[in-house]
Amino acid sequence: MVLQLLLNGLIYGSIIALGGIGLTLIYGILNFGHFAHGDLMTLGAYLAYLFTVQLALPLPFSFVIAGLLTAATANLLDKILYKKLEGRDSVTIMISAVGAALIIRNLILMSWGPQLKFLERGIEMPLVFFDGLLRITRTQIMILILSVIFVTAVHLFLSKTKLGKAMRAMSDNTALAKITGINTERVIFWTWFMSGILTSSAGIFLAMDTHLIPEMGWNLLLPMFAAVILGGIGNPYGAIVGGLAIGISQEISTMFIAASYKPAVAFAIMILMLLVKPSGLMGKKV
Amino acid sequence: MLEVNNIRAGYGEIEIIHGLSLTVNKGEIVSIVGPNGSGKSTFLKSIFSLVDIMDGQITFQNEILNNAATDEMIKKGLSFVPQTDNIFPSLTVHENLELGGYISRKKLKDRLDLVYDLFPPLLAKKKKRAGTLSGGQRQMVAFGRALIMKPKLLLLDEPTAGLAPMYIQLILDKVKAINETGVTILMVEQNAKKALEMSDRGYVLAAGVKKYEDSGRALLENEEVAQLFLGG
Repeated sequence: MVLQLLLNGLIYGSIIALGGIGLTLIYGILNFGHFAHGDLMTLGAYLAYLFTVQLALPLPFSFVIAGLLTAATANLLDKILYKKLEGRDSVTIMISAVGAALIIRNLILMSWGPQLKFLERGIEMPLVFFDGLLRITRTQIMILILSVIFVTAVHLFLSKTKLGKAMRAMSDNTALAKITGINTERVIFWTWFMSGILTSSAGIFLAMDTHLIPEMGWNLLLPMFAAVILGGIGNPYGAIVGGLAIGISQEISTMFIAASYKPAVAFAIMILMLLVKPSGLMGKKV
Repeated sequence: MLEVNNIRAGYGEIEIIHGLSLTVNKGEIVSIVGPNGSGKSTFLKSIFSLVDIMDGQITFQNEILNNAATDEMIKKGLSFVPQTDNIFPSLTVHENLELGGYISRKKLKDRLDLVYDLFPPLLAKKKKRAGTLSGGQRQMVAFGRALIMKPKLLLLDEPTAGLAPMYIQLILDKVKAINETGVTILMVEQNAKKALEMSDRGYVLAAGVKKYEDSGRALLENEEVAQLFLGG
């Protein structure tokens, strides 16, 4: 039982973590909570549905194209909306992000309707381990492997490349990044792009593991914010750890409380963290 | 090397610097001192285009510098160390220094070695997150980041602000050592006496205008300056 919940939590946590990396970097660099992040995630999943199911293209291809299109949407949002609001207070920008979220969600609703949709047809038989104590589908194994690959790639990018280091630097201290001569516009562009790819992937993983509904990403926004706050705003590594912690604790909590209270666990962790250590587990303020 | 001619500068509509001029010659250490709120930091920032310049002209090596882009100024050989928040705390010491070479990575390794030679304590901590260092060491990281591009002129905004007394002299000695490697220095400093002692020349500001301008020694010996600005 615990093993199964741990596994479910790990998968759910990886999805939150992938979305959370972009959310935390945007928070750190542009100083606002990007409330449309969940709906970008939904967009990625529905684009994958469009290509895989409706146009019958191979899933890996759809995965990449959906990622690129979601990234382009993120860059577009920045160009036509957030950049125009530069210098305004963060509440204004945050509310405009909520507006963007509603527009994206309703466009999805108009295009694909409110019914449940599935990326894969038929029921997949899980592999069974330990006399039935642990069941895992091939799709879930793939999600886990791909999540590890994505997180490793993000780590290598952030720690080894010039652009990645500049991203972390800007998230730490934007004013100093400018004084250092870092091309902040370029960093912002690639931050949106990378966030788009990651959040689209997270959305597709969620769709593969469960199903698609227009609210899927919006519903994940709270756990993603909880992960970002838990790990320390602006810290991508914090978002990964935070995402896994939130995912696993939500699943494990079902041993003690009704499963419908799962989302409350993310809330509780977030509030507790804000009360005890607002800078987060790996917060930048030392 | 640096000529500032009658500039007016401030934030938005608010003018803080009311027509200031200043000269820095190659190889000098020049200090700007004055009471809190005299506009000395704003003045330094205006040289690095960090505040709005409303009027006047800044030239560096005979090229006009007014409101130049940061990377352009770095390429020309200027570097700026802010007073606070002058490191990237979640990055390692080494990454902080590397980012100093963001706009050009030519010979980055040699230049990193030079910085570690100048600040040996940083070598042992190169893999530590900069945010975990002591105040004095953070200041070394901040200097190091600004020195990676081998600037001709280093602008320092209150390098000893907020430091424990034990570090103040250490950091000022480092400023002297940096100058001896051939870097010209223009600094704003609240420890006016100590700053003027080590400076070739100094400027005393009050309320956004220049009150005195002389050699460091002469300013220290000027009774009026001593009484009004150096605490007697």
